[in-house]
Amino acid sequence: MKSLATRPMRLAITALVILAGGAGLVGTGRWGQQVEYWREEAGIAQPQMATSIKDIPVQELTGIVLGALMAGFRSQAANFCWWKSQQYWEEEGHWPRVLPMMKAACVLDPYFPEFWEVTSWHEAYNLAAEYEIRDLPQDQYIDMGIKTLTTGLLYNPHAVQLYELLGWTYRDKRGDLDKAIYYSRQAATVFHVRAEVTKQTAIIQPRFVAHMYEEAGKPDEALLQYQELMIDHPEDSVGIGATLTIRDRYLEADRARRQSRLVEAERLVRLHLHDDPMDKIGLHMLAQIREAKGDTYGALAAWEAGAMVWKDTFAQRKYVESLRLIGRDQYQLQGIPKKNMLIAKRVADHLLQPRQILGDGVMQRGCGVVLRYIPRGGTERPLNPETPLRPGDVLVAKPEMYPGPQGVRAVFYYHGREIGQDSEPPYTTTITEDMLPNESEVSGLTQFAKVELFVPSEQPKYPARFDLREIKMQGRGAPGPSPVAPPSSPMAGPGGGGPGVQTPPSSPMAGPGGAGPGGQSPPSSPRT
Amino acid sequence: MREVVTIGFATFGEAIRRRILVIFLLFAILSIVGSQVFKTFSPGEEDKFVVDLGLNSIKWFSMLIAILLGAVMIPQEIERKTLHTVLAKPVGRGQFVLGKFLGTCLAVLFNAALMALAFAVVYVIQQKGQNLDPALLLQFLLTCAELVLFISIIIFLSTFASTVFVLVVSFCVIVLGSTANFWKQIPAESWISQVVFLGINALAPNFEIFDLSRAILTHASVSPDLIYYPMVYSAMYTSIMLLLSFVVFNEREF
Repeated sequence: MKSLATRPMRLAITALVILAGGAGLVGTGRWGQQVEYWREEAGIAQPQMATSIKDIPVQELTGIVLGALMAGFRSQAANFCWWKSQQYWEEEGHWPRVLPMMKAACVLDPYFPEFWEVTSWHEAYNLAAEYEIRDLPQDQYIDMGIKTLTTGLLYNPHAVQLYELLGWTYRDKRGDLDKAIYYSRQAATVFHVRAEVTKQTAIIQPRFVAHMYEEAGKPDEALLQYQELMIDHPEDSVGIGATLTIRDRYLEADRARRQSRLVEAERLVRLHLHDDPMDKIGLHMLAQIREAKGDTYGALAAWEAGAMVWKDTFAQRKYVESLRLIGRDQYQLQGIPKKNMLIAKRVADHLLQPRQILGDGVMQRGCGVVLRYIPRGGTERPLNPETPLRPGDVLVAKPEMYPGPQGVRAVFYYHGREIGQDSEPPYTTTITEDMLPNESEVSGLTQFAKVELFVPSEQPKYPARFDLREIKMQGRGAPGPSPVAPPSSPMAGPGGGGPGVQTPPSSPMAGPGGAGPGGQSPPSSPRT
Repeated sequence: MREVVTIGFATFGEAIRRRILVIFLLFAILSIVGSQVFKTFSPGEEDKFVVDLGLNSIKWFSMLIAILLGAVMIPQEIERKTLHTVLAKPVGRGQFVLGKFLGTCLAVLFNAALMALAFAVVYVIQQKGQNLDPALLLQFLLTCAELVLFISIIIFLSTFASTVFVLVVSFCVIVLGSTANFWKQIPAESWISQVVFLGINALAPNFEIFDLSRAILTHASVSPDLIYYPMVYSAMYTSIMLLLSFVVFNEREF
């Protein structure tokens, strides 16, 4: 009887204890969730898996990756994906899997900034530059690289190296100095950084920001940056040197510009450019002063000159923006069939993103043409856009993308006038006295030497080549000697505009004069 | 208490004599040391590779050892009838369970410590003789707390289920615990799934709160609270699991 009485009692107590245990587990579970929330706040929690699966490229969502996600091996799986991506990158023929693998690694271990950094670098630099392996326009790879970095920053808001690379990419690939300065400043000021990165960032990023202010034609801002830098690092030789240079070269012109003494500002900048004609900061300031004066075509010329300096993407971007401002690029694309549109786009791509060629990489023009010169009695050297040529000097055009082209013709221009042609490599022309312009003719777009290479087109219906830069200028100064050729002629002159001619283009198709390869796809161009 | 300690040490002695445990230990140490060889697979990310592989080897091999020890400790005693001999002595059922739990913990943590020692050597070599990151020591403490929690679940399961059942459910617990945050996010479309997800969220352990690898790799400072709270969580969960183990084992008829 006793056992019967105690048995139900014990069972009831057991049930009660189990219930209490269950309730305790629920309470503990809530406590665990709270701890996880605090970990998220502190920035040490692991990523949420639901988000991760959604973001993993479908082709890489293999059993290993899923298993790793489910069992908590995600960092190992990320390492594996990273290793495979490196392997694919090194092996030919596997490149289409490189990016998905890298992205899978990023998503599996998103709190490791180096994955985002290297993936973005591959996208914006390696894949964007490799014509042989990319299957999208170059711009899209650069956009992908930028997006990768911004996504990486969502997970790693304190990763200074991501800010650094984003600033660098905006400056180097997009020519967007405003955003580049913004992100570089973030990199310089972000408080929570890895020790070894901080060591560099303390000096390098403020210098970089100051230099970008210089490039943006804001020497006063640049000076402020250098002064801030030298408060902490008074011995910094770069800061001292840059401060002196800014004061010596640009500050006076900048003051004149800010006081609306634009003629004086331009004179001062040109004075400096006379000594150092390839100085891109000077060219940028010149363009901005001319913009302030309302001299659109003069500004365009200065931007073009800047765009010819190696890797001056800011000038390249401003140049294209200026072209867009006058509606030139739209006109250029009208009436061009789709195939040629693609070619035109690639030419534009190449113009905007020149590759380093021939070591010094100077004077890349249009579709891979390098213009050099041999001063009388001297040796061949890079030609500065505004280098004054003298009689006896020889211009040399070096196409770097035409392995033994047939029928290619080089047309040389100086100050807007055609001064010579050559159809046999090496393409050269010798400067004579009569080729030199009068001082009054030197103005606007036409104030430097250039060369155009093209293959005569067999399609008279369409322009023989694509030219982003040719501006037809009329009504300013005397018309140049170059005649306006019929549109069907591949040798149509430089837009009929002589030196000092300036009006918006009335006939967009009137003059070719571009640096493009004459409507022919370059042999090493990507697949169309 | 003396009985508990005696059973604990006996369990520990029995555990470390198992060959399978030594094999797992060797595999774990091989994996940790091998990270020095395989780090070349991740060019530029060698530190990450060594830390990831090292910490995860300690955790997962220790969990594997815990499953293999915990799953057989009590069921084997029942099957071999040796339990009756023990319970014939002045030893309570609760003391028996507690002794088994402590013995298993001792064996698993002993192995984890050996693995951690191997990892410390590899890490110092990788860092070219620099001092050990204190966060690694904190991670080891948290891994120990995690293992203790996990062993308590295995002991609870083994008080009423067979070895095979304990093995299967333990692996499920690992998956659920490692993906605890995932279940919080799944939208429940029916009341059944709602109940299931609620149950998982409420009852399954959260192993993710014991992970400091992100802080270690990014050299982020970790608030002491975030070490202390997971340990409190482990202590609470373990206490409840042991309480339930005592009650269930007490009611079980042999």
